[in-house]
Amino acid sequence: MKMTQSRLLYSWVIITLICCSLLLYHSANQSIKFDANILNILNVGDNSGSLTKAARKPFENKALLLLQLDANSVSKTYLRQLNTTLTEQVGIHTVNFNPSDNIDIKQLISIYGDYPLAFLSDEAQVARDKNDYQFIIKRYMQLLSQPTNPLVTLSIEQAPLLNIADWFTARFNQSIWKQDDEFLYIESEGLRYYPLFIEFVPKAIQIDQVVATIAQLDQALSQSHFSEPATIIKSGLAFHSAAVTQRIQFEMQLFSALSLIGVLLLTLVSFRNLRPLLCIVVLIAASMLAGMTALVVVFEEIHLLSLVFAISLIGIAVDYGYHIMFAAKYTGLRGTSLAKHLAPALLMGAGTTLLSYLLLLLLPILLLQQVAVFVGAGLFFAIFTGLSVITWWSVKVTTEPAKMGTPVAPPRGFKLLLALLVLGSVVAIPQWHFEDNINMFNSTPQHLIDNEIKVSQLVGNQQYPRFISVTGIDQQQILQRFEKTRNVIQTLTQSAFELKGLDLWLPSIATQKINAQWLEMGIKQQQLDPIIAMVDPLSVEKMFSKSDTWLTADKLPEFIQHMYPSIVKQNNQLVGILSYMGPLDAALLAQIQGQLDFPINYYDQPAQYSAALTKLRHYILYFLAMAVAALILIMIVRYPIQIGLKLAALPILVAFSALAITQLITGSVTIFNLLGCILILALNVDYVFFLREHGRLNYVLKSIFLSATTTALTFGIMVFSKTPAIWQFGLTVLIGVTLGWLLCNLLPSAILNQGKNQA
Amino acid sequence: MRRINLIPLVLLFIMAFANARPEVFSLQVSSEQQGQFVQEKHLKVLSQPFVTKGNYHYQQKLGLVWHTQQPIESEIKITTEGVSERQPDGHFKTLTSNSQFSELLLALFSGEQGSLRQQFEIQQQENKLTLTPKAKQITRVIVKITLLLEANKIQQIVLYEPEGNYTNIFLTEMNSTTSQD
Repeated sequence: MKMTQSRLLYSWVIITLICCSLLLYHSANQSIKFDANILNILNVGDNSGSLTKAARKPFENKALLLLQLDANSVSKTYLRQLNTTLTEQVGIHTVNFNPSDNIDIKQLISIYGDYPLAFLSDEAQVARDKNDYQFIIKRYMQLLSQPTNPLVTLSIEQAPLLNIADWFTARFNQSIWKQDDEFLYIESEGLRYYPLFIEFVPKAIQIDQVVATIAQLDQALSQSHFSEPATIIKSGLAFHSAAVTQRIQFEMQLFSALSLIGVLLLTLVSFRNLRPLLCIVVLIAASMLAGMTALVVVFEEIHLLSLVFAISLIGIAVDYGYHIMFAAKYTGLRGTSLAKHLAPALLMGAGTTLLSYLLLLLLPILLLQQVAVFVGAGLFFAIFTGLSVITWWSVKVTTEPAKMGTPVAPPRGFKLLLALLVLGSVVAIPQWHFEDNINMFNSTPQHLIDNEIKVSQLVGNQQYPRFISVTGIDQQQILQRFEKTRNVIQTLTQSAFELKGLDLWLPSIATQKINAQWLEMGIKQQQLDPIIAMVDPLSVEKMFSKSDTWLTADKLPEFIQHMYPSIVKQNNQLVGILSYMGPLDAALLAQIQGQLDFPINYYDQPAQYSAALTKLRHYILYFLAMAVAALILIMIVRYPIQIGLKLAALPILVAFSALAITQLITGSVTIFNLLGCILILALNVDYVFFLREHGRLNYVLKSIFLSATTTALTFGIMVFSKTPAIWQFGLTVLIGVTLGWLLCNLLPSAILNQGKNQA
Repeated sequence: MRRINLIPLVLLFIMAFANARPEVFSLQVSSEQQGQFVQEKHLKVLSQPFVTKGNYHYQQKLGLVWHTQQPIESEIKITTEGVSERQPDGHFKTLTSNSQFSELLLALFSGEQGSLRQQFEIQQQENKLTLTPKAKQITRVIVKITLLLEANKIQQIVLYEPEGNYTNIFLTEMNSTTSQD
């Protein structure tokens, strides 16, 4: 027996050392990465995840500040000072008053100038379609008539027809902004807003640094200057990321600390001995260590929300500790004999819980998969720690005998509670409402949402909420489809909303060819003679020598490639993304699709994620139904059918009632409430197993009370979270655990002992 | 011998003093002026200069209207907010809101020393002012500008561009509202 106990202890030490080493290794290699974006944890299972990421990438490390200032020299001095201060920050790559400041126009025109006939402005393309060469001549004269035009100066050498100067005019025309010295500005309701375009260093907006980066920026903005803006409007993913991360980190630390303190205090009060306290600390630490190690090993990136949910492991792990220590205290058993005494109920209870959590791995939600891995590994090691370390190093054996709690629990209270729960459920059912709107789970602070709304009102959407994707066999087909989609949308909507895509700077080769052929024909047919007559013959010859080469993506300057979403490879074909900043309803989409000979997909991210949540809710409901079926099956296999059904009904009733009460309190039920039900089922099954296996002994009731109290404490504290997903989960679990404890306490002995003699 | 040796030093001192005050120049400040122009674009790519003729109207508050009448009819408006072009229906369409070059031209027509000094290094030799742009972005396009003055009024503007290209603008002022700076 001693040999078995020693082996268990050695194994425990080895596993603990392995876990510590793995965590230290990953920490040393800085390979533990965290994420805080709630949208990243929802894999909607239609390959849109990679497209969404690609659509978001050009915006990820960019931010826009709109500073409301008076139009005077003091304001300009302030802006210049602010620019200097921000530029000096480590996390900021560039700060510009005008995003085109960094563009080397000379280099850019030189690249496009290598294809002197390939580019025509939108108006020139309309003229091309009408075979109107007079437009080109008139445009040429107009451009040359201007006293000075840098585009003419820089491009005329390579593209003497000035078609490239004309093409670039449209590209550089930022009509929404006005200019004042080196500053851009926009006016609205008599107020002037100056923009500051910020690009962060990619590393600085990663989850571990984004809070510090934004804090530094905020500090720079709040530093006292002799002129400060009345309002600063912020727009950018980094601000949201920092706010959410900061909140989750704070809640995680606060909830962990409070839960731990609560659990330890309860333990101390219950046992009045330091050793149980140490046992609980060892148990919690071991389970957390195993959970964290499993997460780090299995997943490349850990979502902070997973860690918040994983705190619940504290509540579950300590349950086993209490059962072991109370059993040790009241039975006088220790070591292997104690382990053997407890193993059936402990393994049945823990096994059911473990199974419930591991089943979460089957659901396509990264968050749940991470919670399952963390809690699964943590629970396994908690049980192992309990049976190896705690049974061996448990409280000193006392002679206190195990007593029956209350020999026959009064059935009146049990019946009354049952009646109330049924009544609550009956009242809740007619108003039952499942809420799947993703906005319900948005934990971004309201002031940042207001800022984004204000920015979109002033300068249009700067973020990435909607995009259109087209597929193609190669890049050229995608560019052609971009052009066709753009034409159809512009014709149908005549909207000022901008459609952003690579084709703005890179027309398809087909378009480049048509442009070049038309201009060449104009020269050959002498339609463009008024221009050609003025141009040096050598330049014309040079232009013709380059007339059959085309601009491709690989020759584009890097800044243009980074301005738009990349083309994504998916299922052996390429997918291109056009960011669409305007509203697009189903009718308009059908109209657009009707005019195109290829399919387009429209992604409205909020709607898309809401649909994904509905789908996930169905999965969770199926999962719950399976869990209920499995529970009934286990019960009727373990116990006589009638008893098994009665015992199984208790956790099921508690879980359903918890949902019903949640519905009555909040007016709706979300997937996070349903997730709470899984935990409620698992915990209540534990209570039922212990009561049935060991009877209504006072130490069993005490351990259930302590378990329920600690679980209610760890989950109940989540009700104070500002993250909707967390408080919804916490509320349901709090209600469920409280009801479960009440029902277990009032459970009549008749039900518990029924059939025991026959068995 | 000593006295003789001091003369060049005194002359050098006087010249150095003169050079140390390059910003002192005389140019008529105009709140409004109008007249005719002849513009010649000497570009290497053109076999002959491109000549345009027309009239201009500068108003401090409204900017510069550059009305080309030959060889084609076109009208552009240059303001602190950029360049716009008159459309056949009469309204002005923005060509560019990048006002760096607009402000440069407006500064020339206004003749205001403050705004000129803000944008240019200025040197004066008799009736010729040489303006070298300070902004890097502008120096890529305009190397320097020379102004030929007569009675402190601009008679000719030459915009020197890289690689030997230049634009000659001859102004004939018809009417102006002036004040001496």
